[in-house]
Amino acid sequence: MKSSLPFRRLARRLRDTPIRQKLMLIVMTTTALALLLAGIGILLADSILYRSALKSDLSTLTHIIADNTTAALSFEDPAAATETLGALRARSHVMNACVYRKDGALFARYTRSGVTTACPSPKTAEDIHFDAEAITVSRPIVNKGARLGTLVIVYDLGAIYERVQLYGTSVVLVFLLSTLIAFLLSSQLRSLIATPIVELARVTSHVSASRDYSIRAQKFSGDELGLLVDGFNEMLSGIQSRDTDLRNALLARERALRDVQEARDSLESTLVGVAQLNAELRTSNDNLARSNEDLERFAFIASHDLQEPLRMITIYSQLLVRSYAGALDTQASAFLNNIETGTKRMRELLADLLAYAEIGARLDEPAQPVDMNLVVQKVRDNLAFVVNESHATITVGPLPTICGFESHFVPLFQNLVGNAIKYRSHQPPHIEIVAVFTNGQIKICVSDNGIGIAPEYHSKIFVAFKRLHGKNIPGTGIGLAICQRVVERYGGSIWVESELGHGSNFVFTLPASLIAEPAFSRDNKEDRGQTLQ
Amino acid sequence: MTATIFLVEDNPADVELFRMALQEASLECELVLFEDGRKFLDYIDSAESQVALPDLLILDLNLPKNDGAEILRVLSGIPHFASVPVAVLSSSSSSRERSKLANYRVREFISKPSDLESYMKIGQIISGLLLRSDSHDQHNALHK
Repeated sequence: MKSSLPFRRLARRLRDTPIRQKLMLIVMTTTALALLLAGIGILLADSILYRSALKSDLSTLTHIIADNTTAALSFEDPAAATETLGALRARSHVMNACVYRKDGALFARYTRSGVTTACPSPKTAEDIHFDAEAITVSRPIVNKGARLGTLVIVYDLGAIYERVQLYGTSVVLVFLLSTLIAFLLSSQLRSLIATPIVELARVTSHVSASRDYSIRAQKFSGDELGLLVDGFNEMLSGIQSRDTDLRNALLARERALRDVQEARDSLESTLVGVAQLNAELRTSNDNLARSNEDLERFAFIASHDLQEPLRMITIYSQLLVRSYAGALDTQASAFLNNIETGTKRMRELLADLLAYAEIGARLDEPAQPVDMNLVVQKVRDNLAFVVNESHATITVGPLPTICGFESHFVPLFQNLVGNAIKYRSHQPPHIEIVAVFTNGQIKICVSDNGIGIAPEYHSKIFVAFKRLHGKNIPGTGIGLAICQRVVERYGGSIWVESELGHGSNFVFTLPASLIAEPAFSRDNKEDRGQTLQ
Repeated sequence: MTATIFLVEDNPADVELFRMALQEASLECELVLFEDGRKFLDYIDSAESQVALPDLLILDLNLPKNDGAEILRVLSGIPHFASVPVAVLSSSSSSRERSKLANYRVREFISKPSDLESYMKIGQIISGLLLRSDSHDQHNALHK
């Protein structure tokens, strides 16, 4: 563990070094290691080869020397032997060369100048001995099978060291030169790989810093790095388009938000305006309601209190006629008659005005369920005289029971039925009353076969005291105004569907919430059919 | 014996017509007139009313000062007046006004007619009321 810690630290430091240096380091390390291993291999191989070559060389040399000394030994001529040995001077690495007699006594010797060591003692057999400094070769000198003596040569290893030194120097030189070349070459070549990567890294950091996705990395080659750059650029354009989309979406959203904000602001100001308008409306509504109430009270009191003096005028003019019947001339009688006609008309008007005012009056008692069938029956009874006189037929479909006041519904139906008889055509009047339930409303139709009403008068007929006909048909012109007032009081509406000469169909609606008892079926056609039969 | 009728009515024209109607019906009676509600209530408060009770009280509803409804309310608190029949004269025939008087003892509601002929028929109604009142008294006497 402890030993791997510095290595790990180194590896970590190496991991963070720039790619240029890393590439350089890899190239240089690989090159140096390869050269080193090659040099060591060459050196080793050479030393082994040289050793064996040296061995065989020495063996040959000793063989020649031994052969050349046989004669000297045989003839006891040491000088000749010394001379033979002296030839070894040519071999500078021979330190000593000694010829020993058969008994081991020194016969002749050669010692290289400057060498102080003596010849080692001879071996009985042939021998080559290596030690740290020298090779010692012992060779028996033999002539015709008889041993004459022994040759010993000491050869120093300087040759080997020289060679090793020479080879080592060459290897180191080659190593340095190769490394230098490798360095120069790789520093040129590494840019092939490092430059695109560095460029890519630069573009990446620039893009991530500036968020400018329009920048593109430069492509230097068609290899994997080129593909990487292409892929990177493609990715960038993908991001760019998505970024543009996102930006547009954001812009659109911002715009939408701004629009919403503006709309809200304008709505708020509108609401403030509406609130003000509402307040004003409420005030004017209150004022209107108050003035309406005042007006109604006035109409009620006026019509009620005017009846008293009118009654007196009527009765006293009648009294005048009765008491002075013989004493009055024709003109006075005509005057009195006019008074009577006028007061009668005024009485009718006041009675209708009072009825109209009473519809709008507040009632103390609560609303009651009112059966419309019974209301129509009451109307029939009230109008019995005119119904019989005109031979009118009235068919009534099943009608609902409605929450309200009988005193409102009787005049409503009585005016509609009364009008249908009053404005009849030459044929006997036929009046049909049906109720249907549509769109959450009760719809009641009172239709007749009378003279009908031209469309331009359809809205005018509901205005109080508005009459389409002269004095030939009696009436005050308040009947339909009363009808409208009743229907509107209950939250409904009334209109007429008619054409001149084709009868009239008076229709009014009432909210369904008023139904106390729905005494009619939704599909009313069957009921109508049965009623008609 | 002539009957005594109390009439509370502020309109002299109506009083005149009322007298004519009584004559028309040939009713011989003493008509005591009170021109407004206050005068009638004052009379009731006085000691005189203890002895002189009318055979019939005819009350106009629409009176100045104290109106007919108020008089009826006062009368309902006076026990010895309970035997006097009361008829109400009213210009309006509305059921609303009548229903207001539902709690009081009213023998007859008479609408003031709008024409002379009908007005003259009031006399007959009055004589009918007096006859019924007589029989009522007789009935009461028998009962005693």
